[in-house]
Amino acid sequence: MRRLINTLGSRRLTAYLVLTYAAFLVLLFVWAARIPAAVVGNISRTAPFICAYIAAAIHLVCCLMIFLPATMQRTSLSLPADDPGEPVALPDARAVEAAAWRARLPVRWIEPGKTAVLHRNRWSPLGSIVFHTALLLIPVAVAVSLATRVRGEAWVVESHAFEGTRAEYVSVEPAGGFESRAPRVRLEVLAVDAAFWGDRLFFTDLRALVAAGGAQQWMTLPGPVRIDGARVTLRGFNYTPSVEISGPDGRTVHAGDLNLRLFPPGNEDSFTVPSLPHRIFVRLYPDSSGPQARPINRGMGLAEPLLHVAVTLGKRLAAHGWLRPGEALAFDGHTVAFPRILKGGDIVVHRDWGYPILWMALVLSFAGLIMRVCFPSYRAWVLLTGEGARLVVRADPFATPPRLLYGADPGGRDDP
Amino acid sequence: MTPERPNVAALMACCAAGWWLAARRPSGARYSAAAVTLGIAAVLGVRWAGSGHPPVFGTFEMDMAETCLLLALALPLDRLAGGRFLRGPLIVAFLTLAHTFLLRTEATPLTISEQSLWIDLHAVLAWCAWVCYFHALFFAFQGGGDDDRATRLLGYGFLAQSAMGFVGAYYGTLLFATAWSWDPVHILGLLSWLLFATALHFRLFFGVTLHRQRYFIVFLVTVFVLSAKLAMFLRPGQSFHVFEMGSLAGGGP
Repeated sequence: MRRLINTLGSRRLTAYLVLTYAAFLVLLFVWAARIPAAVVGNISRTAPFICAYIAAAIHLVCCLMIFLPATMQRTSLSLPADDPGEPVALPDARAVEAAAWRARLPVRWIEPGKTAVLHRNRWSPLGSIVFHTALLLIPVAVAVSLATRVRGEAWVVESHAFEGTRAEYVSVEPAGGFESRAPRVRLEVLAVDAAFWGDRLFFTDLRALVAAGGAQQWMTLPGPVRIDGARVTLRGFNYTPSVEISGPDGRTVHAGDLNLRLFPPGNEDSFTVPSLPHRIFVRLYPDSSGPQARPINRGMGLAEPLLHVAVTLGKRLAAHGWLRPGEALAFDGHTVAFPRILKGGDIVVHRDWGYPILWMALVLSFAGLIMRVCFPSYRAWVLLTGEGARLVVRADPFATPPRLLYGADPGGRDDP
Repeated sequence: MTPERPNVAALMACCAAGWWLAARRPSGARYSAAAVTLGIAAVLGVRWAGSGHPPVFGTFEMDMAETCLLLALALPLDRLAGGRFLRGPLIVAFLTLAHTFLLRTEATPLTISEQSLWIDLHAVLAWCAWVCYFHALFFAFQGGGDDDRATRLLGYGFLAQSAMGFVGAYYGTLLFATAWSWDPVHILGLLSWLLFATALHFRLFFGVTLHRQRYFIVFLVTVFVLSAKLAMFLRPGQSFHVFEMGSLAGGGP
């Protein structure tokens, strides 16, 4: 068993695994520069990659089993038996105490008046163990995430309620178990505000006021809101019109708010209504003052909206034209008008119990790194022989040894 | 021509003069480095006042801030290393400033995904990693007693890069509801992190000094620089690390 652990935790295997990972990452990078990230993600979940992840986890466990005793040894204050040390100008116990005080190192006498140990950040080497153990929590977080993750994307419109039913989501993850796992997020979008930099498609502000659970709160892109244990993020912005279709007798056939994708300007979307065989295509230019046949869009804000509407019946174009809000377009005895333009957005509803474990892993690994790099350990033993003193030093490679003890360059370094 | 261009050209000239002086008159090189540092701080300060946000958005501002920080740390380190140490930082400063000539210089407001202290922290940690890695490289080339300094700086750089990654992962969940995506910038960042960890392990486990690893570290720093500056060369939509405004149409307000 010991031999197997030594083999699986060997430094040679570390080198091979690092090379394998580096090669994989180079391949993924080449793909990522050419194809969508989602496809690269699918490649990264294929068998060779999964094998590499499992090999790395096993290797890490074996390394920890091998290096834990050696690391504990590095926190010990016992005098190393195999090191004769080097001569140092510390004639007696008082000189040792004074040097320790100047170097701000606590001193402990192992044999009073004969052997003292001066140390700093004794437990620092354990930082490596904490860091690497925390890395092992990441696959645990991934596994928990795969088992519990729910994510749904939906379009919402201001002054409309979102009930959180499966039918309201545009896409969901996981496709199979979404309804059983997903929290029931209900909210009403009271207002959506967007600001742009000049005439560019460049948001300088985007926020939505939502009412959920009897409270109103602002939701922004970097500031999601929490509803029923889920995080709800505002991801995108959209314009959508309300529609009014009248029949030949002037009676309203259909009226209501639509949920179309008309942003960015020029984006075309279509809809049908139950009582008519026609399909109606709409494009919106939110700030257009140009000639009706050729809109000139001056910005992204809703200043002078102009709609291009085309009504088709099968492959036949029944009618088309440019409309301002409230203007009507006649087609096959009916008229269609868009009385107002509403603002909306994309929301992402997201809950994942793997993330608390991931954050714990990242915080722990960071704490381990800080322990090791920012608080490196330093141990020095002073042996007073009566005829002089000898100094044995064990310092972490990240440590700056206190030169007050030497009067010369210290030399000794720990092996990790 | 925007007013930044002549200023940057003057700063580059100052870098070149400092580099030339470093081997002949080290105090002159220090004055040059200090002048460049203060000059960049002044340019950034004026832009900060104009744009209303800290210099964390746009590759131009990133380049300037990184160079400022690099030289600001190089000055005290030069006292320790002595002699020609400033040549390295001044070459990197010169090249980074030259890179800004490929970039648009107009002050850009923060877009919504940048309006968070998390992303400010992410950017500042990236600068810290940049600075520590470069100085580790310079000390690695010095060799001798400076190898310990190189090791420490590599450790600090690794710490900063790790923290940058952690903050980025957390912010990714706020923005995109996912901590990781296979973005080219992410992949190169992870590759450089893994290779820097390897360099540290070579030092800690096998006792290979950073001086002996110096060409490997040149390669690692190159990968790290690519991960930071690659986004501008990618097609639109290929990465959400959009620091460069060159792809946006229109003249701005």
